[in-house]
Amino acid sequence: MVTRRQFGLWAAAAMVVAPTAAHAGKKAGRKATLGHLALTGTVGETTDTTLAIDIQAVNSGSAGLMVELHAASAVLTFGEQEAPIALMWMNDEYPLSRRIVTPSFVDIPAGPPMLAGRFNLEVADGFKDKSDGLLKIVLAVVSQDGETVEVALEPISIAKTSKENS
Amino acid sequence: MRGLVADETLDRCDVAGRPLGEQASGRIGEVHTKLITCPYGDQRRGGQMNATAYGQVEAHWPAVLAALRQATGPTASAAWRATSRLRWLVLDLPDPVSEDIAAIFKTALGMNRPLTSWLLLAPGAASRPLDQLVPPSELLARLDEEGWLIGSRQVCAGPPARILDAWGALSDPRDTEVLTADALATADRATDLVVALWAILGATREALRAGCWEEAPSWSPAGPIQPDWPQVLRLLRMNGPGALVREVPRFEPEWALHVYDTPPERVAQAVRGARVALAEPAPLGALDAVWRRCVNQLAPSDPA
Repeated sequence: MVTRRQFGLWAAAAMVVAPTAAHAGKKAGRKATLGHLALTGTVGETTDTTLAIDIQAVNSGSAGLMVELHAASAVLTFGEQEAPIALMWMNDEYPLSRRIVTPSFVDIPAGPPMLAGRFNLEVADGFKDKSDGLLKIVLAVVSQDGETVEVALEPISIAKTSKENS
Repeated sequence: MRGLVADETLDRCDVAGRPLGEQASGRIGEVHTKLITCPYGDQRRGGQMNATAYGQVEAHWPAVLAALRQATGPTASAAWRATSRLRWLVLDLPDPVSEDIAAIFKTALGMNRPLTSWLLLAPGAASRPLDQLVPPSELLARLDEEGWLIGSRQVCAGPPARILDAWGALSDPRDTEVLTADALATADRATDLVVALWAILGATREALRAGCWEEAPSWSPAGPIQPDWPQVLRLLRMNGPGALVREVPRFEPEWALHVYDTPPERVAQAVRGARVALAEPAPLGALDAVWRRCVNQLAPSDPA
């Protein structure tokens, strides 16, 4: 089902193909594509039932990038056992929130790493007490041209110490 | 000011205690709401819809149509401005608002967003009649195809005939006395402030892409909003009307003017100021100054 949230994607084409002349001239010769984007995840704040993964982005191109980051999939395992994940969402786009929070494009300048998003998981109570956890996350990245690619992050270790430190 | 930039009008209540934003307000749990299954023959069919909210709008439908006719004019821009005026009208009204004002707000809110999007995407359309932007014969199909009737948890409760009635009222300006001239003037200033905000935030995003580490070393689109960030960055993170600017890859400041047939000079100044600020050594600080000037012009009693 199409929802009004997709306004941005329709607009994307119109906006990208018709930059102002002044803007286009200034940008000549500078380039950044999804190929210049590297994403990594680190354990952020946790509660008894939620786990936040901070997504760091590095843009190695020569111009700023505009991307949407979406939670595509996540698998959390402790040893051989897979832990159930009730919900996952990016930033404050909590799926059960009352107010519509539209997906946002994020501006990533060329240069040092920046915190580009926060991937949130709602997990079973008690996960904090387990050790040797491994989290595999796939993000859907929407480019400024409206193209969507899936990016698998390096698996993230959910060690008991990292949970206790956060 | 927070009522505007953070959309806190959604949490304002009418005399019956209903929040104006209905499901979009955290206060919806404080009132009884009857949900029914949508019977309409479009994408909404089978979705949950708010029968209580629709009942309120239906009970005040003549006032809703009269307000739309009073607030509109001969162009698509005037129709858009009408929905925006009626959406921000409550900023200057004391709590609780009357039920007819609540019904006007809900109708205007529902129509404002698609109209805004259509005008932003159609340069030049603002100065032509509304029917040329979207003919009534195509309106329902377009709303349906583009998903404007589907919310995050509920669907729009407006029957197709009522949606067409409202569209017709926006093309039929008349002198009615539902709203005072003062109230409309206040809502006009709020409307222009929102458009200026889009232009300024569009420029803010361009500055971010260029890299603003010295002005905002801790900037991030995730995590808590920091009080020491330039104000434009805090505004960019809010989920009020400025959030529109985050929905597109790039929002050129000049794009905001597409909603006007004749752009007000105060908004045109903000757009020019936003573009000039980008060439400054500290663009975010310069954009903060542009925003402060807008607020001083358009909402002088409110701190920027």
